[in-house]
Amino acid sequence: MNSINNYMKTEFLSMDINESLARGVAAFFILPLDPSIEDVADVKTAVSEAVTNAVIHGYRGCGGRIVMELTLEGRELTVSVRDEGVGIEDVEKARTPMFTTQPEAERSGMGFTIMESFMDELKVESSPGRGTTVTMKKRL
Amino acid sequence: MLKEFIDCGTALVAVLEGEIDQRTAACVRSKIDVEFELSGKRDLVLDLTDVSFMDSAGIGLIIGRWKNVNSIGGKTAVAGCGQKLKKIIELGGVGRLMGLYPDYRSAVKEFMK
Repeated sequence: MNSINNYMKTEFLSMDINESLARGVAAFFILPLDPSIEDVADVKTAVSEAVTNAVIHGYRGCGGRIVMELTLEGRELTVSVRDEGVGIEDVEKARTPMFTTQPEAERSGMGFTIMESFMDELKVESSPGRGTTVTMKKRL
Repeated sequence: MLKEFIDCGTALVAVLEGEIDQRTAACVRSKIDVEFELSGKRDLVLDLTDVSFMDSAGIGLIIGRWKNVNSIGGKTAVAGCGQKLKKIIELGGVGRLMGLYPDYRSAVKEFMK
């Protein structure tokens, strides 16, 4: 099994087209490890959820910058997605399955649940007015 | 993205393809809603055979269509979610609300029983 140490940092605008860009970058980043199809799908889905949250909730569709950092230590991937948007008032509540602030937009409220289930670890740091950083780890 | 619609007995089959995320789901949603309304059909099948990626926006899309169809007394089913989408479909609780079938023909056959 391959074992690689690597790091990359990418910054992009808060736009919905960048959700697919971010998950694509994450998938390519782990490719040298020859991961299973399931692991690639898990990482892509979790990254998509984190970036979508930053675009929709962090910046509320009003633009801004999102920073994604990817770190590989051996076969452990760490992904962090940071925005400087409105932040989350009650992180515990936001992490509750099916909780959504936008039911009319058919949001499923599954974002954090998916990140938690598809990755091994999830940490959410946020303060109102200062933005949110989501850090996820997965052993590949 | 939306590939095509198939007219199949009491059901409208919406065949989706590619990646379903927050950006593409909004467009797919309105196309399905308009076509379903115009078709006068009772039931809806969402065929995911050619969908390569789906996140929680896809779950919202599926459950939203189920709510609409259910409100007029029709049935909704998901076809062809296969191995690659199985995990997210299960986590989203889609199977508790509607039938999951290997292909759209088996879903329509079940509707006709």
